[in-house]
Amino acid sequence: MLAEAPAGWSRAQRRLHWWSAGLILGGFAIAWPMVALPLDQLLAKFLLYQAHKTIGLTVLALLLWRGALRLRRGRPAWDAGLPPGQARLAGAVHLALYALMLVVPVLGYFTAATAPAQVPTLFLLVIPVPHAVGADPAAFGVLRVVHRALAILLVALAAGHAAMAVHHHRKGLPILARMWRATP
Amino acid sequence: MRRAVAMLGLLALLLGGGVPARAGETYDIDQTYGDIGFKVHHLGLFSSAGTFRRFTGRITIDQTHPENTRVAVVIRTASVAMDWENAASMLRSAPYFDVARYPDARFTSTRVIPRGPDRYDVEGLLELRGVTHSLVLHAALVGQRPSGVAGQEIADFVVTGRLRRSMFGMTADPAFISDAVDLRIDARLRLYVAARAG
Repeated sequence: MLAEAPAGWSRAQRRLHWWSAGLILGGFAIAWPMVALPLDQLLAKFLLYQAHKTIGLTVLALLLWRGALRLRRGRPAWDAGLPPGQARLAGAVHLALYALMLVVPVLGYFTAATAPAQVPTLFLLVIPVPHAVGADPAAFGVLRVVHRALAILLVALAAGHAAMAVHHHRKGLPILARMWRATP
Repeated sequence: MRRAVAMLGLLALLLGGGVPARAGETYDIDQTYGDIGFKVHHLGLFSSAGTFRRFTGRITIDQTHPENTRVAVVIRTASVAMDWENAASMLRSAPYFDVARYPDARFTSTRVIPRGPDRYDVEGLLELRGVTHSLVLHAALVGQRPSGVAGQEIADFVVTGRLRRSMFGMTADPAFISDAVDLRIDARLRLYVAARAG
């Protein structure tokens, strides 16, 4: 990490933030119809699952990239207008978001791997991702529930994070703006 | 060497050769070890496999006219099983095996043609969902050994074949489930043979 905090988020950090946000929302949104679709619409169900898995693996890859950037480059200092208590809370939420962006895709991978329906995981529908473990109905029963609960928590925290960013933006703090465009 | 001798023994049995087996002998296919399996393909990307747990099979070996060797198998369609129970339930439903209306599927051979020392083509009729079509199965003797009972041997066959499910009116979900269904049947027979001289 640099000794001095950078003036703002780098272009890569900003892009990765918004791509992660969009992919998480998309992956979350398609999870519900994907599970609910009946078996007489197998093709659509299959495609939704593969899209969901591709999104999850992408979020995981983006997270690792973001982690590397964060370690190398650090983050800009908290905005001076942000009360210290809120900065601490925001820091805790960011940490939780990073943790969930790691844990939810990993749990999703193991949910897919242990599922009684042994459907392969095909990244972008063409690249097979090997399953490290096989079908395990007992583990699957636990994993799918925890994966779903933590995904809901991830999206809820992200929504709170976004609401606070908008709230501070309306109060004139440049917190949202500096994630949206380069800090001059 | 012993295996080769045993295979020759079975061939001789089927062809009515020197091994003194009983004429027109009827054997039950051993369900305990047998397995009727099928496999379908999805988008060319992967496949799913299942089995039928309950079936009865009978083979009658005609020594004087080996081509008249008869095989008859009745499959209980409701015994279809897959790793994922939801998929098996789907297969029992009306668009697939429709087990309520068609509880049995039947294969009855019409001709058995020896194709090599341990290979046979079994031509026959398959009745599935009330529709009957011809089907050729390829049988290979993969192992033969004494059963432990004097004068009896165990013969294991692997039978393969391919059918088009649409020919039997099973047309559901053609986009995701291949029309071609690969069959693989592991069948075990207990053959009566005379004690081998060597």
